[in-house]
Amino acid sequence: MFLKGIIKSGEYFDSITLMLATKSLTEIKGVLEAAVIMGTKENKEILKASKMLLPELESAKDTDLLIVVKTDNEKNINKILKKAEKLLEESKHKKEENIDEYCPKSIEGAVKQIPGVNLAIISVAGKYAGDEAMKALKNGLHVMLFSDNVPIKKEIELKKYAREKELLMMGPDCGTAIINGAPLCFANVVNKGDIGIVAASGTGLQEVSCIISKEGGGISQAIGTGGRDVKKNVGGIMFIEGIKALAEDKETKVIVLVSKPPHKEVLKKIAVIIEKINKPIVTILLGGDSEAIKNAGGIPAKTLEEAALIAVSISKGKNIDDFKKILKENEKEIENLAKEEVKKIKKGQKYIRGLFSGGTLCDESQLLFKEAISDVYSNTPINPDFKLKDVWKSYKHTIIDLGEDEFTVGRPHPMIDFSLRNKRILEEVKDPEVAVILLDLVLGYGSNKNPDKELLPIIKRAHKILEKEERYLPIICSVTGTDKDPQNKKKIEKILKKVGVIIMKSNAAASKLSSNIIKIIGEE
Amino acid sequence: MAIKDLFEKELKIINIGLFSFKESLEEANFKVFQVNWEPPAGGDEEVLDALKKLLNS
Amino acid sequence: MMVDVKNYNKTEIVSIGDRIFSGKFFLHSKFKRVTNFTNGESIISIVTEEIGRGPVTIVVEGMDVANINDLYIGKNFISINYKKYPLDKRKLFNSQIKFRKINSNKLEKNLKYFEKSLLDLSPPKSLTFLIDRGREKNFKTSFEKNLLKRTKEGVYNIFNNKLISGIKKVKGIGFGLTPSGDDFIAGFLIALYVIDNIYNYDVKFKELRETIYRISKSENLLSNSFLSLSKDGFLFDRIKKLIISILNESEQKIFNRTKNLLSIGDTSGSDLGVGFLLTIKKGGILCF
Repeated sequence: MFLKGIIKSGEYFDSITLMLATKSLTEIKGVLEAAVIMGTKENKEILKASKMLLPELESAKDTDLLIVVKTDNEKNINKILKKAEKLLEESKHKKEENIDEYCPKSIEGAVKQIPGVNLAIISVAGKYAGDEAMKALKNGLHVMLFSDNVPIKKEIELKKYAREKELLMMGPDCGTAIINGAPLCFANVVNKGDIGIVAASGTGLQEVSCIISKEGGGISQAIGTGGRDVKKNVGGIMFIEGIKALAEDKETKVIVLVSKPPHKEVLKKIAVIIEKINKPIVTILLGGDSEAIKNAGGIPAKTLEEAALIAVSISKGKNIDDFKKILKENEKEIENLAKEEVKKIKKGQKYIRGLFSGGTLCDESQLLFKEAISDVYSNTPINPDFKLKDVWKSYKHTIIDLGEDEFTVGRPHPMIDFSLRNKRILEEVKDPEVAVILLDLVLGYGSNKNPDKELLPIIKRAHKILEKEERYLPIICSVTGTDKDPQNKKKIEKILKKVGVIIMKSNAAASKLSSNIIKIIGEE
Repeated sequence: MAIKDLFEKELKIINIGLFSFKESLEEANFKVFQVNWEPPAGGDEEVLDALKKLLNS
Repeated sequence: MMVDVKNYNKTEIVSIGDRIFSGKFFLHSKFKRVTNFTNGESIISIVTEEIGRGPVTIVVEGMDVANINDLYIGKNFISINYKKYPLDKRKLFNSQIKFRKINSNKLEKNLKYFEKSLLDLSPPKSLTFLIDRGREKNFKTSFEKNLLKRTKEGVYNIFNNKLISGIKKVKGIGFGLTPSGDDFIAGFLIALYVIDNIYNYDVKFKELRETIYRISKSENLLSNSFLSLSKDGFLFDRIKKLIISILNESEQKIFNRTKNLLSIGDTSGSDLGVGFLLTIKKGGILCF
């Protein structure tokens, strides 16, 4: 432990500058404690009691400024003090702060101070988030509740209350929504239009909204409900309210519903309401029962991409059959591409390894693979018999969701921090039985700001390994995002293509290419 | 204000929790007020629970 | 907002505090929106409109406050950077509260509301831990913990018959250009002044206020000036308006005025508010 201090005489710094200087100092690595205070006799007494009153500081006057730091490293201490002085100097020239920048300390405070507040985004710890959400609702605010670990009882209470008050209660565990064009939490910059979405799935919402935007359609509103909404106990409360809201919304002409299969009772409720609504409703309930939807007059789609394309066709007044033709053409193209790829793959390579950051995208991929070939192993398998024994080690055909709890304890989500997946990619590449690596890449607000910078080195290393071992292995990736996202989808795709990554235009397409490759290999 | 009314109004958002959500919206040109929320009692580590999903520093 | 094109580039004095006095002044300290001058003992401040009016404050418009280096106050004029401005009596800011009859029930309710507003709006390291113990955990470093300890001891003494030793413990400690403890004492002094006036004691606490001021003085002229004005009820506009709202106005007003006070500086407004609140609450039963 090292202690050093300086006296600054003859200058005055306003209180906010002093506070910010203290804060900045404390945030420096190695600084155990820092105090930037006036050298009054009394403050010196406190320093003494804290064993921080160095002899050279004793002569300080009331009007002098003291800067004292305690660090764990002798080398840096002088640098740190210099930094403090620099900060103080800079404050003299800094741009004026907006005196009206107001930070309330509570929801009640905010509501009183800011006229017209209408939406609260809550992402505090689950333990407290439920109560904060209720406070927001009670104050008449619509709520986006990003936090998870909120007890299910609380979720039900919140949603019932919100329904009564006709408020949005998006979440808990709702990662994405687009309301009035505003990207909430993880969301993409998409075109505005007349297609509304209700989603009990974050990345599902993202994939659908991005494809819609790319195909020339636009989003009116995208309401998230959190993953548990369509389970039996929550009963689809927000899902239904969301559908009703879009039904009434003037701007919305087409509605898209995105979710994993709802509980059958919830599905019934959804079907009932679909029947009552005149607007066209496209559904993608991954792996769910499409009969009930069809019978209710809805339009069930088989993939997220398909749902998006159908919605855009309807929105543009095109014939759905036309686009079905396009889909068929795409499938043909994918088949051909698969054949080309297989030619380069060595004998003995036969497995797929899918490494996902988006849960819904992982599920969609598993479903498509199952349809084409067989069940796959996973940490979140759609077939419970195919649960991986050790989630850290792939087994045969494996498609995993790295966003699940077992991978994210004490660690950022894979949409932000690529390190875990990068590591896994290299492990899979080294496995001589692997034929395909399948990835998702989700862009947008909240996601990693420089995905290309983080992925590129890994892809290059992968190629080096493969070269050395004289193997070829297609790395297939779909990018969920738009060109207007901060990362810029076009730019990212270009960069990845340059290093040999096969970019497909949707998760479904990427999954189909992968399964096609594996199928052909299997048949040979 | 019912949901359909919200759709017709200008959003005025308060953000309670992770600061990056406020920044993103401001980048997209929406006005957001940060609430300097602190847990009613109890440990700092618990506040960081949300960062299990999202952490950036 | 209508822009008066005629006055667009005009430099002007907007308000003159009622406690300024004539003489030559020297530069004391400079900030973006405030420049302080001194005659060696007292302070006169030149500020922008954002900062607002006060007893020893000259509010100016159209000038870059950070570039003011010279001040001379004459009988009928004020000279800033050698340019003369008339001492217009109409622009005099009255820094004292005109006290009216008090409804004690309303005052009690309003104090509760003020407390709530303070808690709602104050920064984490302000003295609000004195009214909400949960905030003590915000003081983590050894300096902060010792600061906390000393403040608690001092405040305890102040309100438990050990006034002088309490004040001595609280003065000069803490963060900020005017240390938190001094702001607390300023709030304390203002509260005593207010109590004198609302209960028509007039001079009951006057000597006490003088004594406390004498003990609290330091070499920091800014603190001294503030404390001196506070003991006699010469208030900055933000504080004056806040107190008026607590004495007699609506909850919304109290909240807004609290927010207004707290928006300047770091914890000064809160610290003063806490000092004021704790003292006023004990007002009727204070006996020293």
